[in-house]
This record gives sequence, structure tokens and C-alpha cells, in this order.
Amino acid sequence: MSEPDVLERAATEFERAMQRNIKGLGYFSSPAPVLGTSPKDTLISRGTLRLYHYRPLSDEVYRVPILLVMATTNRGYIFDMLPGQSLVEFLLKAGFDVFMIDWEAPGLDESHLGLDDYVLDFLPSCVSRVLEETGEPDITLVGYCFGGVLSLLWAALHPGLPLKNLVTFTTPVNFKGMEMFQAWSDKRFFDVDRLIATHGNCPAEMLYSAFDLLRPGARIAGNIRLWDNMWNDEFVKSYRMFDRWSTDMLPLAGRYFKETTEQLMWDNALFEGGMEIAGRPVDLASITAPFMHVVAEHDHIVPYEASRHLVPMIGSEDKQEVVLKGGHVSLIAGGNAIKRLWPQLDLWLRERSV
Amino acid sequence: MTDKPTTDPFSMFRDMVSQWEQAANDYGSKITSTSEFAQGMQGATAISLQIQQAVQDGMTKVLAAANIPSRDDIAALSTRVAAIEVQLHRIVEALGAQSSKSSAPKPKRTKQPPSGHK
Repeated sequence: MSEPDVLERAATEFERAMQRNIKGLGYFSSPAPVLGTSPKDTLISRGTLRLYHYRPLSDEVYRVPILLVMATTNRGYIFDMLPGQSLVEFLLKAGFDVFMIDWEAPGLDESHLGLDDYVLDFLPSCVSRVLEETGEPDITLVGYCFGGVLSLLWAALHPGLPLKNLVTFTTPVNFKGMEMFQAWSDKRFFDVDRLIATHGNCPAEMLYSAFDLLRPGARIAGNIRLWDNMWNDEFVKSYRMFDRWSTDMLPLAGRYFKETTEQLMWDNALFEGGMEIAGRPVDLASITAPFMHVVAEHDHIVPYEASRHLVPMIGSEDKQEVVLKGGHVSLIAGGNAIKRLWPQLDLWLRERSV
Repeated sequence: MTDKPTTDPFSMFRDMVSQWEQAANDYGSKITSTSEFAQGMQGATAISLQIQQAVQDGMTKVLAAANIPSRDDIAALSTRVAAIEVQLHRIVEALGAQSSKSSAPKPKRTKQPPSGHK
């Protein structure tokens, strides 16, 4: 670096250091950002289950409503972070009628809930309610992560029902491909029955620790980067938004956690065969609606090996896998998603939603 | 963009953080994905669960002696409240009383994709 460059750089860093101190104080004294504020109506509020209808932002919408299905481990506001950074808002502005299945923390009285409750009660109830609300005969389901698994199970078990399109994001099907989770839930050492007998539900703290352990250096490096970028309002806003969401995890209902551990993590039954919900065999080949699966190139939670087999297993003729740059979360929210996933989703859905 | 090596110490520090993070993640993953780690982690969890279970059992007896409801009693009450909630929900649905429903006019469901798009 030449001498003027050094002086200019030193002046910039000095300015940033000053800003860091001033804004750092503000950071610790201000509340976390309010997320998920797009206007909506609650159509179903039953125990852990919520069904929301977002208020349309245009006078004319596509005929087929979209139902977003959130993963059961996290809050649905990842789809609706802040104005300008909200997938829900983007879809509403693009002319879609948007609904979302979201979850509250299941209480101890809901520890008996199992996969069958989610797949044969919660999802069908929400689909019926959306059809009733819109007066339409069919629906598009968009599932994220385990919300995608639930959507697949529902679709496979209800082949006669009105599924117009199915979209899944970062959805695992070969659970042997999730190597870290496989190691930690090794059936020789992991006593899932004792965990549930003691806690009733699988505690959110345990899930949070497991996700955190996937990238042991990320939290420390993230804090260093936050300090380094404390002068940058946009960086801080984005950091707080994602930090709040990623720490806001939900416990899982006891029986549901036990069944997913046994059937999916241990037996890998969805991929290897033998998956059953309430005694009914699941065959993904029975799904014939147009299908799109979007996976992230750098997904550390659902690696490609866990998700890449999904599209070939689906029976639809109109089906495709889309691999986009990004990670498990940045695929669907934030700057990366705004540039990559959202326009792709809009393009794919619009011609299939009339 | 150029790949020429930088002499900027601030930039070097940022690169160093990224490299450290990558190394920590790689090394951490290598350690935590071993069956020895899983055995140790689950062993510690099992001990913790045993202790919690023992404390819970002890507390239940103490609470019963003091005539104070235990967690199970509260959970049983919660189950009954939840059952009432479900019934209420069904009644509300049956009556069509959608109090939270927006009164705004519904949009027309006739939108077509823009012509000429792929």
C-alpha cells in the first residue's frame, strides 16, 4: 500500500472505530427488531398450530392460493422478516394469495402429538380452511425443511386431494446423509425414550445446541464480525434479524420427536422404504402434482446428499430440482434469497397458479 | 476484483477470522462426528436426565406432602383447558363466527402471468 492509501485507510478505520463505540452502546440498549409484521388474520389457533392468512396487497390475485408450511423447529417469521426482506410481502406484491402454517411451542399437554397428528390432522385441517376461505378447489403447498417433509407426507397420503403444485426448500429425504445428526442420534447411545420420559417434549435448548454444534466456530466468528461491522447499520440490522430468528427455537412434541428419530434418523424409512403414518404406508411416487425442490449449495444442516434423492422419488412428470448458491437459511431469507430464490419461485409458480 | 496479496492489516485480520472459523468448523466437525464423541455426549445427557428424573420424583413427593400441585397436575389441567379450547374452536368454526377475519373486500382471483415471460 502506498503512503496516501495507508493514511486514507487509517482514517477510515478510525472513523469506524468511533462509530463502533457509539453504535455499540445503542446496540446493547435497543430492543431486538420486530419481525413478522405483515398484516394477517389468524384462521386457526389450536394448541401448537397456527394458520395465518396474509392480507393481499393487490386487487387481483392468481387463482391458486399458496400455503407456506414452516418447519416445526423454528418460527415462521423467517418468511416475513422486515418490509423489503419478506418473502410473504414479495409474493403478495407479485399477486399471490398467501397463507402460512406456523407453530407455537407445544405445551407439555401436547407431548402426545405424533407425526400422524401433523400429517393427518393439522395439515388437512389447514388445507380445508384455505380452500373454504378462498372458494378454490386446489392449493399450492410450499414447505421449508421439515415443513417440506410434512408436506410430502401429506401429499403422498392424500393422492386424491386438491394439490395443484408442491414446492419444497432444503428438504431431507435420505436422513443417512445428515452425518452429524446421525452421529449424535446413534441409537447405541441416544436414549430417546428417557429424554421424553423426563422432559415430556424435546427441549428447544437441546435442539439449539445441536444446530450450534454443527458449526462450532460460527458463533465466535459471528460476534467478531458483528463488532467489526458495528459501524454498518445494514450489517447490524441483518445480523440482529437472523440472530433473533436462529435463537428463537421451538421444542418438539415428545412423541413426534421420538417417531422422527426412530423412523427417519434410525430407520431412514422415507428413503429406504417402510415409512408409515398411523399404519398407512407412504409412497412418494404417488405424488403427481407439479413439483419443485430447491436446495442450497452450502447447506450445512441438510447436506446435498440428504436432499438430492428427493426429485427422482416423486411420481410427477413436471418436476425439477434447483440448486442455488447459499446456505440453509440464506437460501430463503436475506439478500441472497431476494436475488436468487424469490424470483425463481415467482416464475415457477405464476404459470402454474391460474 | 484482483487476487493480489494485501498488506492491509485490517483486511488481513478479517481473512484470519474467516480462516480460523473454517478451521474451527472443520476440526470441530471431525471431532463431534466420531462415535466416541456421541457416546460421551449421550452419556453426559443420560446422567443429567437421571439426576433430573430423581429430582423430579423427589419434588413430586415434597409437593404432594405440602399439598401443592406438581408439574404433572398442572399438565393435566393444561390438557383439560386445551380440550376445551379445541371444542371452542370447533364451535366457532361451526357457527362461522370468524371474528378475526378481515372485512376488506376480497381481490379477484383472475390474475394471469405477464405475457411473454418464460
